[in-house]
Order: sequence, then structure tokens, then C-alpha cells
Amino acid sequence: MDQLLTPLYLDSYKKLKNLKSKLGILTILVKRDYAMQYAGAALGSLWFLIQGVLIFFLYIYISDGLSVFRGYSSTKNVEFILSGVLFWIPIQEMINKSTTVLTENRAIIKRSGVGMNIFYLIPISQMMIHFSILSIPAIIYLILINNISIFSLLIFPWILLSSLFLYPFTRYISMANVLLKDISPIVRLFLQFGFWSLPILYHPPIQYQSILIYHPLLPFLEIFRSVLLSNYIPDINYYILIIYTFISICFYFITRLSFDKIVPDHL
Amino acid sequence: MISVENISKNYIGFSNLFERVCSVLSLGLFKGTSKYLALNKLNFNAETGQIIGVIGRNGAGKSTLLRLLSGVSKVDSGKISISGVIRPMLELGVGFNPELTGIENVRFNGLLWGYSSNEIQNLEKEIFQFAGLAGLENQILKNYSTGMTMRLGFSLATANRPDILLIDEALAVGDASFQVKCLDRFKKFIEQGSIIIVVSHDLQMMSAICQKIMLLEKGNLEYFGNPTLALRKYFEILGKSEEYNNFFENMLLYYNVKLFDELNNNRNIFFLNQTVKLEIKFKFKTEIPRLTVGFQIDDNRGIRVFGINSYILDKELYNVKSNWEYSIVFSFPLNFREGKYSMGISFHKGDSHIEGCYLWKDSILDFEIERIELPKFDGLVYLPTTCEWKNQE
Repeated sequence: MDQLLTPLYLDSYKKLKNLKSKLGILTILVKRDYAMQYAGAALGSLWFLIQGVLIFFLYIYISDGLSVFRGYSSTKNVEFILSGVLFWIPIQEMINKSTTVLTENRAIIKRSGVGMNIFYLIPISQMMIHFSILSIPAIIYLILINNISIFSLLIFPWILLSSLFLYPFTRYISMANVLLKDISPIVRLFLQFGFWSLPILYHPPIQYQSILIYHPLLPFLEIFRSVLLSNYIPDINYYILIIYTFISICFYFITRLSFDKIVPDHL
Repeated sequence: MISVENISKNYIGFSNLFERVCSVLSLGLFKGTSKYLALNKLNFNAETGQIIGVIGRNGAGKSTLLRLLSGVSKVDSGKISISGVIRPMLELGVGFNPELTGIENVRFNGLLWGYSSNEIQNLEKEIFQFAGLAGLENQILKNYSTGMTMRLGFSLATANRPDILLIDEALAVGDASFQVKCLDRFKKFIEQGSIIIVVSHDLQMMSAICQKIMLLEKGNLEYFGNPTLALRKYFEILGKSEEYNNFFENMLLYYNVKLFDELNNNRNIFFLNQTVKLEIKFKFKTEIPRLTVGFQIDDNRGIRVFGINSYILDKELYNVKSNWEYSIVFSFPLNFREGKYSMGISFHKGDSHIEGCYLWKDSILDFEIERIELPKFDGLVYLPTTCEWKNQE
């Protein structure tokens, strides 16, 4: 029995050690990416915080003003926009970053033997950091107006799950951008479409809701809002969520089988 | 240990933009139609404590081999088995950012070379000392010279011993004294049981440090073994290279090479500093407008110790007649260190075989040099040296 258990134990230990080392490399790659982005800037990485928070509040301020003009209650509207923007900004940054993550690091990938897979996780890690920072003022505001759900901390695993749902696509656009430089502008265009097609800044008109239900990110946004806000009832078609999740998983395996084999040779 | 069994690598590319678009839209199921066989059924083994050189012309598959061994690329067929920590040094300073300081670059890139955070912390001081950059840790990298960056890259990549080190054209960097430090570090790794695989065009250095050399040509393994033989075969390939010339070997009817001492005795053992005559007789089948005859001498490690030709000596021969026997005699002192040497000859146009080669043969004549009545000395060549003391009160 001992003879059987020892190698298994050793194998698990080796895997854990390997995972720890991979996490270490990922941490350093993320740090390095920030350091490179803000090298030479007097405020350094603080810029990322300032930029994020300013954009966040700018969206809320303008949209809230417009919505009040259209007759919605200001407080209810701020909660709605705040939760939508809090969901969207990090996701948008993650998709944008994914587009260039391989091309920006091509020298390291080609020369160091670190491998490509770890680079796909940089945008997700950065997204989680951005999200954590942005969520602090949002949560404080919701506590102040007494409209925060008791499950609000579940937004962290939920946003991670949302990013994992998108992972096969972000991975695909990272690789596709190696082969075709058109991917970057196309993705930016799609992000604009994604932003305006989701009910982030506005309450969708009734005639639009029957189409909106097929938006792949809508279930994620709706669940996010319901987890964060105390009295928000999500409008979700769970069948659609299951179908999209299945498509996402299939997409992942197809790209792994085919794209993974050809892209490294084109880096 | 490294075991490579029957590996092949095909690079599949796109011949036009449409194929690229198709590949992206089909999620990579369409792979492109342009194919290039970079490595073809390669087999070799490497044991611990060996430096293995990889030589070959551009496009021979050298860098592809290192990319496959390092895991950057995947093989199409065959199997690579590697035991131990592998560190690819495919480009020095890769990942360094000019806007970050030296120490930041070391910290950020150390993990990419397989070091743990603790290791990097402990090695920081030593890395900068070895690179000769102590005191410059907090300088921004763009203020470093190219040489300084390369030295830092080398020092970081070799700060501790990997089981397998893969080096692509970065065998020795910096000035002469730093190169000696680099080579000493490699020797230490080898003594401790590492395997080093080196790709380089510096043939002299390769033959001096490698236990085995692998010669690749158009993705095929032409030779793997003794460095001297590998270099000879490489020179033959270079001589026959279509890139350089059309090879006209069949135009030569015959040739004959002999070495004589001062008394015209044909010998193959000579004394150091003795003047010898090299006689090359030949006959061409067809008329040749311009002819240069040259010879080259390699030592037992394959290092070229000397080479010259009639063009350089301003004795180019014009209008060589068919079926006429010609001979050329070179006289020179054998001022090389005692040992075994081999001589090769070449017939070509102009300054070098690149302009058109009729014959290139390495090692067609072996000879030996012995040292008698001459002082012991260090190095490859003997320079007749005198010295005298002077005193002054």
C-alpha cells in the first residue's frame, strides 16, 4: 500500500510545486507588464488607479445625468449604471489586453521557453486586479445608500467565472492577432458594439428585450447585478446561458487542437 | 540526458493573405499550403558532461533544433526525452526593458529563466559582479551600452547551473576577458554534469570547446561526432554550396599534392621552424581563363591555423590550357606548435571559392611537427624570440 501511495503523494507534491512556480511566473509577468506600461512616469502604476476610477465615475456621472433627464430615479439609476460599469470596464480591458498579449511578448515566448499558455492568463489577472480596485468605491457607495446585497462579495468569484467563460475567446483573439493584424481594430469595434448592446448605461426598451436575451454576456451581467444589489431581480434565460457555456467549452477544445499547433511557428 | 528520436519539423505557412484569413476563420483547421521541412528525422543522444556544437549553413535547422529542445516549438513527429532543468539562452537580454533599471530587469526576468524569487534575491549581487556592473544596478537599462546589456543577460542566464543549457549564437559575449570568464563558467557547468548545446558560426571556438559537433544541412543530420571531421565535412559543403558558386570539380583531370623539406625530400614529419615546400601538380580537362590555387592547414582540433592562395600572393594564373600539366610551389616556415596537422587544397576563381570553385578538399595530406632545439612556448604559433637584460644603477 505504501508503495502505491508514495509515488502518488510525490506526484501531487510535484504538481503543487509546479503550480506554485507557474503562479510565481504569472505574478512576475503581470508585475513586469505594469512596470513596462508605466516606466518613466512620475506617478508610476498610480496612473492605472487614477485612470480607472476617473473613467468609472465619468461614465456614471454622465449616464446618470442623461437618465434623470429621461425620467428615471437618480439613486436607482446610479446603482444600475454603477453595477453595469463595474462589470464592463474590467471585462473590456481584459479583452483589449488579450488582443496584444502574445505579440507584445513574442520575444520572450520565442526565446525563453516559458511557453504561450501562461501569457493568456495575464489579462485575466490584470482584470481581477482592476476589478478589485474599482469595486472598493462601488461597494462603499452601495453601503452608504444601504442597497448592497448580503452576497455582494460573490461578485469576485462571479467576475472570475465570467472571465473564464470568455477565456476561450480571449485566447483565440490573442492567437488570431499573431496571424492577422486586423484582429485588434475588429475587437475594438466589437467591444463598442458589446458595450452599447448591453444594458449597462441604459434600461433597454421593451421591444429590444426579446433580442437582448440572446446576448452572450447578458446572463453574466444580470447575475452580477443581482449578486451585488440588494433588490435586483435578474432577467435571465438559463437555457441560453447553458448553450453559450457549452459553445465556449467546445470553442476552447477546437482551438487547442488546431490553432495551438500553428500559431507558435508564426510568432 | 537528452534523447532525440527521429524528430521532424515542418513549418507550415501561408502563401497569401487569403490563406491567413481562412486559417483565422476556421480556428486553425486550415493550416496553409506553404511547407518547409526544417528538420528531417533527426536522431542523437547527449550525455551529461558534454558540450555539443551544432553547425550548418543558414536554414540548416540549427535554431529550429534548439527551439524544439527548449519546448518553444513542438515536433511534428518523433520524440524528445529530456531529464533535468533546461535553460534556453536563445537570445541574450530577451525580455529586458530599457525603461527599467538593471536590478528591476534582473528581478522581473529571473523567473523567466527558471529561478525562484529567493534564488534571484541571493544571486543579485553575484550577477552584477560577474557582468562587471557592480554599482550600476539602479541605472536605467537604456543607459547601459549594448555590451553591458549582453553581459548582464549572460550573467543572469548562467547565474546558476542548469542541467541542460541551450545557446544560440551567444557562446561568448563582451571583450576578451569577459569571454574567458564565460568559457570558464561553461567548463565549470560541464565538470558538474551539465549538457551544453551550442549553435554558433564561430567554428574555431566550436572546435576548441565541443566534445562532439553535429553538422546539419537542409534539415538533415550530415554528421555527428568528432569536431575535426565535422568541420571538414562542413567546409566541403560550403565549397560545394550552390549559393556560392557552381561547382566545377569534374573539370579537373587530376591533382597531386606533396610536401618537401629544404633538401627536396618528400616527408610528412617536420621540425618546428623548418621551411617546407608544398608542390601541387594538376591538369585540367578544359581551358580555364583564371585560376587561383590555395591551401589551408588545420590542427588536430580542426582549428584553421593558416590558409593562403596564389591570388593573395599576386600569382593568379591566366588562360590555363586543357591537358597541360601545371605545378605550383608554395614555400613557408612551419612555425606552428608541435603536433599533428592536416592540409587541404582548393582550386577556384579569384580571391576565394565564392567566386567559383573547381575543387575544395580538406585533409588530403597529414603531417606532423616536432620541436627540437627550440625553447618551449605557449600558444599556436612559434615566434622566434630573443630577450636581453639591461641593468642601470
